[in-house]
Amino acid sequence: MGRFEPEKMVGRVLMLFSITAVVVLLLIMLFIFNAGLPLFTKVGVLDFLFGTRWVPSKDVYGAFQFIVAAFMVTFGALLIAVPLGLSCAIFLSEIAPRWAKNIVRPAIELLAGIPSIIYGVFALVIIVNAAHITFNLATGETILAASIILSIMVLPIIISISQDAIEAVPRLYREGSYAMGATDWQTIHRVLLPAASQGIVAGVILGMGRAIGETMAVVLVIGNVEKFPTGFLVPGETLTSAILLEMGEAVVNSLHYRALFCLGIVPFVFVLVLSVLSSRLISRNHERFE
Amino acid sequence: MDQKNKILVKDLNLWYGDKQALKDNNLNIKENRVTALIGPSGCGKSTFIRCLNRMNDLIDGVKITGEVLLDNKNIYDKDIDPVALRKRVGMVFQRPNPFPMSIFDNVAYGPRIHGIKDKTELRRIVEESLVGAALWGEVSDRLNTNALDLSGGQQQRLCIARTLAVKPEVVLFDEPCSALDPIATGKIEDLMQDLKKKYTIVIVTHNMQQAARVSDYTGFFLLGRLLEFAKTRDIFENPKKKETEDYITGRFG
Repeated sequence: MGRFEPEKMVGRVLMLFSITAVVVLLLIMLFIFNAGLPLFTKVGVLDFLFGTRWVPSKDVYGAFQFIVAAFMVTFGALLIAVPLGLSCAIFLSEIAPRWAKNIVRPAIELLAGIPSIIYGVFALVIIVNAAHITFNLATGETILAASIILSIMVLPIIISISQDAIEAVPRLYREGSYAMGATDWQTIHRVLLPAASQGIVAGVILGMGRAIGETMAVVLVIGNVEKFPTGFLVPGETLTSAILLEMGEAVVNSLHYRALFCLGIVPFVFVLVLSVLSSRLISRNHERFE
Repeated sequence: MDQKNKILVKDLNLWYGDKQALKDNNLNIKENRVTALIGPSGCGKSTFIRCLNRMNDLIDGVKITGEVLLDNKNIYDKDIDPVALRKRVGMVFQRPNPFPMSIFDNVAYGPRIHGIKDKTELRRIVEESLVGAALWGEVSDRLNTNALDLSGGQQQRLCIARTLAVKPEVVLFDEPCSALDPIATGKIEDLMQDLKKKYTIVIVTHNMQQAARVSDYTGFFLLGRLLEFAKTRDIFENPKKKETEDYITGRFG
């Protein structure tokens, strides 16, 4: 007869719960791959990835324009969010007096908590109109508008992870730099940023994952035109917005239905790769400082 | 022959918030001599040495009164730029802190931030500084490897080289050997005897034998006060205060 050991019990229960999370992830993967991949018995993988015509009524499924639009929106967002976010992280970790930190940091955390539909509505009213007027376009619903709103949405991730990375640089490095007569800025850009670079890159990668998966805010402002995007000032449709718009009308287990799941697999795999990459970078960043 | 005073400290007080860490300290530091500061942990000797290059400015809530005269000019005057001051008064820290970059870039860091771009000039300074820190022979063939791959003792000498590369007049050592083994410690102590020919040296140490071996003058700190200051031999052979005697004979510490 074994003795009752509460310590062991607690450990086992906690392990069970954490395994549940992994199992759920695996089930989701299994489900979407199972729903999507049979598409390729009828449609070639290359035709799907690089075809530019998407006509469900004729069972033609080329997703290239969605993929390109998704990446344009994502990189456009990063182009805006990385310089802004990095500046903000440097300010918060190195320059801000305590009272400013106490205002900015919670504000940024709040920004992360706003539901994406709110961002979408805001963008639809403000950014779309601004784009419409500024660039004198027929419609302001463009890839640019989506990039701008996404950049605001990924800012909190980039800021908080970069700030943590910069603050994790040991005080010894700062002191060593100052002791040689370096100024604040010299210390920041010659010692702190290089030392924190892996953590910063990890933050950017996570932001990228968030941007490519974001649907609601994007679908409201991007115009949703299934055409190959020729620039940032034209409407487009991303992978996720195509799923959102068409899933309602797709017959379950039809080819159309499977094609929509395949649209989901693309960002899913992309985000999976990104998060593996970023978690590696984050842990390496910590190892370097013991 | 009496040596010129390099640094004169007058009535120096320091507070961390409400807590007074240094009380009415007066001290003169002779040029081209090694001055050691000893005392039990928490006595203020590290805080004191960090006043000499205004490193305490970096800490929030520090208040300082009194004067620190470097070549007869108060470094706490309004017109003194702490950045320029730290170029003249370099510092080596308790734990070796090379930057996560190559050996070359570590030593070239100071000259570069002070505007030297010329490659041959940088190479010359790097070699000269590494020679000065008795490290050149061990690393001359691998200047491009990461400084973090060096041993602890080598890293500390690299930090000394890095400090020398800025061409300071005074070098402050804040317990430079406390993280090193006896052999590495011996090398750094030998090095100090060389360095004092060109620089004025102040060293904080909790190791009394080290103070006795390397220094010309010794100050004994207790509870934020410089209790006794004299030639090292006098302090160790003939201390005037009972507390000093108790400390160096190991009755407390």
